[in-house]
Amino acid sequence: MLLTIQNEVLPEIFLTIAEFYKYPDQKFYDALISDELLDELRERMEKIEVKTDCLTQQADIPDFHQFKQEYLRCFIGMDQPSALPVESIYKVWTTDEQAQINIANEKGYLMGDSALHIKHLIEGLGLEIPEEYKQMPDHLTILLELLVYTIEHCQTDEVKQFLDDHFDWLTDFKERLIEIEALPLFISITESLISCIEQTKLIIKS
Amino acid sequence: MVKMTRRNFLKTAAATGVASTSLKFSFNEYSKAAANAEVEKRHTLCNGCSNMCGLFVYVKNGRVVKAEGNPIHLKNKGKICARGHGMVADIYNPDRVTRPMKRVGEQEFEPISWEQAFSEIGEKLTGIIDEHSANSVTWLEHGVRGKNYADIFLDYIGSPNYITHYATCFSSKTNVWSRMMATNLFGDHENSDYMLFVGRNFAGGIIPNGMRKVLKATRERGAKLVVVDPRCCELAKVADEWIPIKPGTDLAFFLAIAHVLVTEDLKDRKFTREYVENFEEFWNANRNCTPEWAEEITDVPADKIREIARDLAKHAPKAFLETGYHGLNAHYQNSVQQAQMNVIINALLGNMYQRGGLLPSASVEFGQFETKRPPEKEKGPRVDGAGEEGPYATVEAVRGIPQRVPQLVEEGKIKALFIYHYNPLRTCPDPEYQKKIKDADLVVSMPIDWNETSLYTADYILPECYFMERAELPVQTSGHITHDYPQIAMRTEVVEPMEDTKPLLDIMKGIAKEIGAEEYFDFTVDDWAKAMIEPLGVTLEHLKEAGCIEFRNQGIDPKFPLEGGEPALNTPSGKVEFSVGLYKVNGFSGVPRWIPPKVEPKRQDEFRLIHGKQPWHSHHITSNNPYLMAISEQYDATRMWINKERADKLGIKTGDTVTVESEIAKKEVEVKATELLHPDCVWVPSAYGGFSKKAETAYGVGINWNDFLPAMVEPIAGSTMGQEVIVRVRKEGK
Repeated sequence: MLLTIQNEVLPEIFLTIAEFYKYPDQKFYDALISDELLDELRERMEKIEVKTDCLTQQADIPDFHQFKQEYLRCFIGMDQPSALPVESIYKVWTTDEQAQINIANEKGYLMGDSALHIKHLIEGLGLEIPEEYKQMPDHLTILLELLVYTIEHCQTDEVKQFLDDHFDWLTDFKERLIEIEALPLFISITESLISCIEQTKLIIKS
Repeated sequence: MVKMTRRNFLKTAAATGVASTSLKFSFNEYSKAAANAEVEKRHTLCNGCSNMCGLFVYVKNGRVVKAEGNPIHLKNKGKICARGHGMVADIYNPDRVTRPMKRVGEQEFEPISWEQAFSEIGEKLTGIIDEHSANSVTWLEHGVRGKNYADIFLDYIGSPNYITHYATCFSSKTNVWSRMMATNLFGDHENSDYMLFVGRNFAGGIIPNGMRKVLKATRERGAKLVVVDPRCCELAKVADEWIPIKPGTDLAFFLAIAHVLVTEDLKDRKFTREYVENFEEFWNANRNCTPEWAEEITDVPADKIREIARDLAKHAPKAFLETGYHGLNAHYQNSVQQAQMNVIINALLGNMYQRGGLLPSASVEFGQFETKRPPEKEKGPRVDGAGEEGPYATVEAVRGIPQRVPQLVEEGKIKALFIYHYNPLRTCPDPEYQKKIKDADLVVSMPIDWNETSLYTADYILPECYFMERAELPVQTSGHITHDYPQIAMRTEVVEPMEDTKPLLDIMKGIAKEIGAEEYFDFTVDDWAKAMIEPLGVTLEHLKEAGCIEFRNQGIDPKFPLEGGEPALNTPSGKVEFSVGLYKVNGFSGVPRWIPPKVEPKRQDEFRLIHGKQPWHSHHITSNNPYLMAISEQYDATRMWINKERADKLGIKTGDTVTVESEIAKKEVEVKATELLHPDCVWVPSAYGGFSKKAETAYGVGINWNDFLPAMVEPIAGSTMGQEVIVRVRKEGK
């Protein structure tokens, strides 16, 4: 378990970022446009010495209705190509040699090997996820909550292992967000997440 | 400061909070262990097309890892076609509707809970019924998988409006066979010596075991296979002969075949005398339909027509004119009459109930499920007019007229629409006209993926789970190909639903609860299935495990049905009726007579637009499947075919992009110039032309014949007349 100041800061950072990948509700949106949410996030990121240049004040946040539509377009996929925040999508579906269906060696599909592993971890740690994510356990918001759980409850080497295994696809995800011309806020929050993940690895290493 | 409440999704499970000792934090370690997990074998029925082939699916760690054909199942006998392989893997395609959706803008939706969806739909539906009556409510589906549940729903509210897609598929055939034969017969391909397929691409709309039977007959026994089709289709490529007929003239070809059979005394006299009613009426109406007359109309030489008729007779009763399916049976103004001629030619050959000819399906009698039914309510006339007094009196009510729905919405006669497993915006004529559906007060779509109908018209999208994620009632495997012994098969739940989706029964339970009909849906699939198979002496557990069961003690008896020595078909005379009384009393000819196609190409740049299946697609339902669309890309398969000679005259060559224009649409597409197509037509595959941006793989690929086809109703069977459309073709930029 991490016993430094970061142990308090990191969970706050990752849980805040996780909120961006959940379908937005009014409270989240109000907090977002009030600036306080991003100010707090920036402050915490600075505490762990992560640059916040990419997280400049967002002037481009549309009204709540449009913000929800942007979320749907980017993260659920509706009416436009999407960038699903799901690990399986960005990795080869399986390395299991017994799998003989045609997507076995393809990327772009749900419920890949990474999803099975997350399901295994969630069950093994005595956790539960809500119904709508049950068959999509490697959704980024779940991964981030699970990361926080490991930071708070698991050994350092386990946190490191989790970071190495399940956050190596975020650059591809960010590229996809750029490709589909996602709301700049979603791109910058993902850039911030990537920086925070890298910094967390360094913190753990030291 | 605005305080945000975090919505943490991960919760501590009720039972434990302690890490398991077998927990593997390392992905690599976990993967090694997972590779040794047990593999379970489960059964389902494919959903790649409507054949519902039997599939054994292997499940490991809760995922599908392999599928193979059920070796018993009549339709596939251990094989899986390309569509089947594509559909199996598609369970993990992220392009599905993942949870209930509510429209909040032109093409804008937001996810809602099932509870909210049911509650709002129930409230709106009740209001519509109170204000406009239950007759304004319509259930629209591909057919007929949702019918059992839809019937309860419609009975409860008191609506007669159950409408299927069959007007775009084969409604002429079912209309004719139900009146002339009161049963269906199918080609005994395996034992036939001569098979004539007209407008029927058996290798495109592929049934794996059907093609196996055809090829077994031709290659092992030397049976002759003749294909008459404007296009050298996939079946023509393995045939002895391909005869490129002028599209829309098959009726004339059939009338001339009959003419030869009669005038050359080649018909089966005994069968005609004993089992046919109204032969004279037919013959008196058509005695001038000589092969020479037909040659002028069809472009098939008179001598070739004579040769085919004589060959059919020579090999009869082990010869048949294939009874067909989608194709001629919904495409032309004369589709009903050509379907009548199919019955007549086969009857003249005396091949009915004969091995190598036409045989009935082997079948069993399912038991009835005694569930609590809603009290009977008086229902008004069907809103589409099918089977009602009026212009559509001869249309089968069980099929309906789906292409009238947008008009009925516009006229205010349909206020609420429930659309299940059906995408009329892409698979019915004229998508712009179809979009009127959205003007109904309540449109509920129950799809798997983001199809065009859901995106453009639905107020609510209630996603059904994937076919491998749900159980359905047992079915008989019969149809299209013959088999001595009856079989039953069942689709069972192979894996848990991937998303927040539900099987149709659960969706119906949710809606029923909100409108006070909960008690009529108080059963499970298993309850109903048990009642169905109870008289057959098999258990549900056995059926689920085997997937498909054959009853070898109940073989078919290939004899013409007799009672007390008299013909006993369920027709008015007990015989094959060459003249249909119902048609007569409604002002149509009882016997088939020559009717030309409704439209004809005239100018140098005009063509009849025809379409057909490719063996790896099922019309549009497979077009968002990346695996199957990769095959399309590999073969440049989205190109429109055009006759090479006519293409040359227009300065068009293979690979050129051309403009295709009808009265209602103008599109661009690449072409393939080929000698393998009749000069009068251009041909497009039926799979493409997706315009739902959310169905990313299908979006914007190719064109679709429905783009160009105005909505029309054939007056006897109600079909869409899908090939009665003329297009002008010119090279892009000209």
